[in-house]
Amino acid sequence: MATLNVRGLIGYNKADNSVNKLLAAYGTDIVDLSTGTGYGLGIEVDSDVEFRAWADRVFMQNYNDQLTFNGTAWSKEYVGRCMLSKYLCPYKSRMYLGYCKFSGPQAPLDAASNAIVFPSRVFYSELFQGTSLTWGLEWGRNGASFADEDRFDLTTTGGALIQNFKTNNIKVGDPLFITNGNDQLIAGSPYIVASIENPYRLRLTEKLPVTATSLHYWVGRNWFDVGTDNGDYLTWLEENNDTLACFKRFSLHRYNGSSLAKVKDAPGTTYGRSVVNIGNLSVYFHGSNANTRKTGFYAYDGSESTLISRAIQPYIDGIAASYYPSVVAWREGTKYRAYVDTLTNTQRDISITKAVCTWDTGGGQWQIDTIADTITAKTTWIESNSEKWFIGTSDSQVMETPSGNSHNNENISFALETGFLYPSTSNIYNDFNRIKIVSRSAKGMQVLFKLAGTPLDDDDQWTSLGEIAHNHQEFDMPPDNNYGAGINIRFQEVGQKANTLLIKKVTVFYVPATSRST
Amino acid sequence: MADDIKTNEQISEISDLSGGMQVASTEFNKKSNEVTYAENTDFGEVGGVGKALGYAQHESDLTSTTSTSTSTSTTTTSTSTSTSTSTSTSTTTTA
Repeated sequence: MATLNVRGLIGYNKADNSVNKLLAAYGTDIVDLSTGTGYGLGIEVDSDVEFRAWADRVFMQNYNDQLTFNGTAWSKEYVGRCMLSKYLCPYKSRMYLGYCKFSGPQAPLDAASNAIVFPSRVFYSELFQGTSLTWGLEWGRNGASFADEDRFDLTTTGGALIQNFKTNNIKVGDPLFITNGNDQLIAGSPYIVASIENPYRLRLTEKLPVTATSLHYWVGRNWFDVGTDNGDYLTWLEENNDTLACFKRFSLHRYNGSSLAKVKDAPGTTYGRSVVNIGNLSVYFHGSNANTRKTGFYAYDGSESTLISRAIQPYIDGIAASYYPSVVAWREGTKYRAYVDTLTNTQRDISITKAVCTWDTGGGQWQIDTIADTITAKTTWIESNSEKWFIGTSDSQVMETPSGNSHNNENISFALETGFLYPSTSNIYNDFNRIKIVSRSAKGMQVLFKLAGTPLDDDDQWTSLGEIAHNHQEFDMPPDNNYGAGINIRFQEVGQKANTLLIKKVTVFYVPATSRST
Repeated sequence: MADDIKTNEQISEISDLSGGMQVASTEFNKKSNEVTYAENTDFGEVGGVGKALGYAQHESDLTSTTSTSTSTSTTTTSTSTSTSTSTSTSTTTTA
């Protein structure tokens, strides 16, 4: 049976606790994990599907479909007349949409009859009025102008009227853009709304010069541009420290509800699914050019964005550029974990498949993990009053993480290298006699070593000392391979050993021999 | 035992391994608790290094499904005089 990417995940916990569902976008549908059945939605199949839980609903956008879920059914509730978008994020009682285009029917075209898209524009909703949510936006292909008159009408040309200026909260002062149908009117745009005479007629602050019909138009001002036509485009929206962080590929901006500011010298993200909030930080991946040392993981604290992955730069350099737009990250407790796929850095002898870069915000530690699956989506979900993390894979599975002592029944590879230790400085050569390991529950763990300065070279290969069998164990060094200035000790184990194991302490016994290398 | 300690034998201890990976500098410039490689490790217990937990599949594989859930769509069509509402129940085979 063919397997597909899990294209999106959302945990939905209704406020009254009547509905608690984990939902996955899969194929052309959204599937309830607990039943394994979908809702027959027939959504577009190629795009990422982004979800947000808000207003006790699930909001869904995939740039081709827009729906909400109330716990029972998917519908157009709240999103009947709003933009299609790639990204969405609630902030300060409004929903914000990034990288937008008009939804059909009657999506207006531009003067060259191309679809109108807004890669750098954010549209946002009105505040809720009771149970009604509008977007202060209207559009269509059925506009009509009248020479020397200030009115702009909607006609039934092209089918039944789906627009309503009043219901959709068009306001005095809104700009009206005429985008197609009459060059003179296009050139004069935007016009300004002076009054909303009825649901299908606007009065403008100026008279229009010509009579025309079948005009393509859109009207509304619930939007702002995040840099205009600068070759960059939006890749994510996320709330951070009471502002809306607007990520583009190469820049980062913050919006406070009224004004927009660019975060100085901060790169954006090449894939929004790498953005994860932990504490007051939004941690994310940016990939552009390894040679500039700008590629890496960043932490944005609401004020500035800092490169945090310098400690593992050789591994960052090994991330394939083709994977920059696919790095998916998720949270596990205080840990930020990002799936980066294959790492290859031949200069540093690095070759790892299915790699995960993990940063523990608690202590700042980095590590490079390997897992058994390709990760495509993530979410959190509260199940049985416990907050849990879930990840979706490229082969039709959803995993709870962390959980158990295997990667979905595949062995976990554990490894630790101390790095070269020079007990007598690098100028003194030693006879290394033995190594003592203090550990817990580490039976079966392999212990290996490499020597540096032997005396002129460093070991290429690891030499095994054996396996740990006791909590306090000494390993004798081989007498014919114990002379060097430094020693690097490696622990490795592949299996499903319980994670109670702990390496506590390493002691190297040695005798300084000489300071001469020859 | 003390008798086992050879003449001039010395010891070097690493009692804190919890600094995480640091390979951006040479071995002469890293902190004593930093390591050069850590794979599926856990630094949660101060000083030591444990093994990270894994992950486990939640529910069954997603498959081609025949939907049994009810999908209700409400479309509001406005004219100057009327509003219509339609409700449908669908059974659809998805990819």
